[in-house]
Amino acid sequence: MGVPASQAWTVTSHVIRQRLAGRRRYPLVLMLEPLLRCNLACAGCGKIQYPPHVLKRALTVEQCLAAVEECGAPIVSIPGGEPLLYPHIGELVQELTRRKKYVYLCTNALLLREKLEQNLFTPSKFLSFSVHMDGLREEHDASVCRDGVYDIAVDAIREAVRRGFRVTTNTTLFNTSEPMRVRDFFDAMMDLDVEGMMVSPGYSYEKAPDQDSFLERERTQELFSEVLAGRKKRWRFNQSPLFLQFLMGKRDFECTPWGNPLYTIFGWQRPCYLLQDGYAATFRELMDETPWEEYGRESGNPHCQDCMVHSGYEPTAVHATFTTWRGLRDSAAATLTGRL
Amino acid sequence: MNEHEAPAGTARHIDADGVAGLVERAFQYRGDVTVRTDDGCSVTGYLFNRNALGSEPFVQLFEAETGREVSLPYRSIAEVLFTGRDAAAAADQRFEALQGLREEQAERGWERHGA
Repeated sequence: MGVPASQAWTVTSHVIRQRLAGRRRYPLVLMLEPLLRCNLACAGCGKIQYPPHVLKRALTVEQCLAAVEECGAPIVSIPGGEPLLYPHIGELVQELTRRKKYVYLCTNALLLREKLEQNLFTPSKFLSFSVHMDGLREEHDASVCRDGVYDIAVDAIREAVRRGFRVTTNTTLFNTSEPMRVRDFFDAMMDLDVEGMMVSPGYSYEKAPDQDSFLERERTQELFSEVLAGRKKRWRFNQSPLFLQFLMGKRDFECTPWGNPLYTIFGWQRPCYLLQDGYAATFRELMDETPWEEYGRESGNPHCQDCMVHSGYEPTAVHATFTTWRGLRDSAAATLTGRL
Repeated sequence: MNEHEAPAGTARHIDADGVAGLVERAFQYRGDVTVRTDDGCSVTGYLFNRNALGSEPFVQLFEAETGREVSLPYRSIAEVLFTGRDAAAAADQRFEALQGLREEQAERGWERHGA
């Protein structure tokens, strides 16, 4: 798989420390949204539809760092909105990498080349650009509702790779995705020499403009089985093989909504990155006062029934890897052989 | 009257909905609201949070004019007006327009291809 050894060890030791401390619930990845403003309006996104005065708001760097310290997760993912629109993004990334946090800066890459040319970032094992790519040119441009974005992103990926940055891609699949086209897309991303790919089904945001393209659970499993069948050895994924097997319907997991908590301009979002059931003022309040039993598939919560998104299930896969011999064995086997 | 039948500016009175139901609809709404309190004051902004648990249920808003964060207890709320444009509905309209344009372009392409 595409995760560097030092990062894998950091996550492993974090999980072991949490287990030794007897913590049942702990975060793996902090999702940090310094702003909600974006320079795209994607059909499947329900995160940016707010009044203008809300979109103008942003967290301060101090607020971001306080959230990182409070949460304690070893990995910080910076989505949004578009984080490259955040005026302090260079300073924020510098502070996070100085604290030895593994940072995934999630970007649509429209501004990436410009920021690279401004030398806003320094290559580091702690920094990875996670570029939003929903497929080949036709599919991606349709998904982001603007022509030409695929070509801009490909150009920016090439430039980032050339400059020595870690680059991954982040792909959301919908019910319009065609398995063979997705496989061709994986080949195209590997040709760009990205470190690894992340892939997930889209979450059916109630506020997303396109409500017809979200995948139901069975269709998700069919699609991923077709896409990942006879997985090519050259395809590197920056995620747990057990999670990919879950997407293919080869194993069943329950959601871990606290695994990737979200801190945003509204506070700590309950219960997870995707559902908006309110906000807590502190991370402790989020963990202690959220009625976790009301979420996840087993709870019967209708909002959770079709969700198979990585923010909820990748932590479960990581947990399974480190807490069961079978999980460890299957994960190691998939990593070594490349078979899912 | 349900949410979709209520254009921006429609008053929501406590008598009809109960404060919890009214606050819930305001929380789900992606536009500004105006909250009038029983002392005659009002706050206009985005209602981003509500907490009905605990001894003192409250709502939180970002005031539109000042950006100030305001917290109000449920018991002080007399009325909520949906005064701002629904950003989610506006995004739906833009997406539908884009879809229409794409379909039109595709049809034109087929016509040219056929000719």
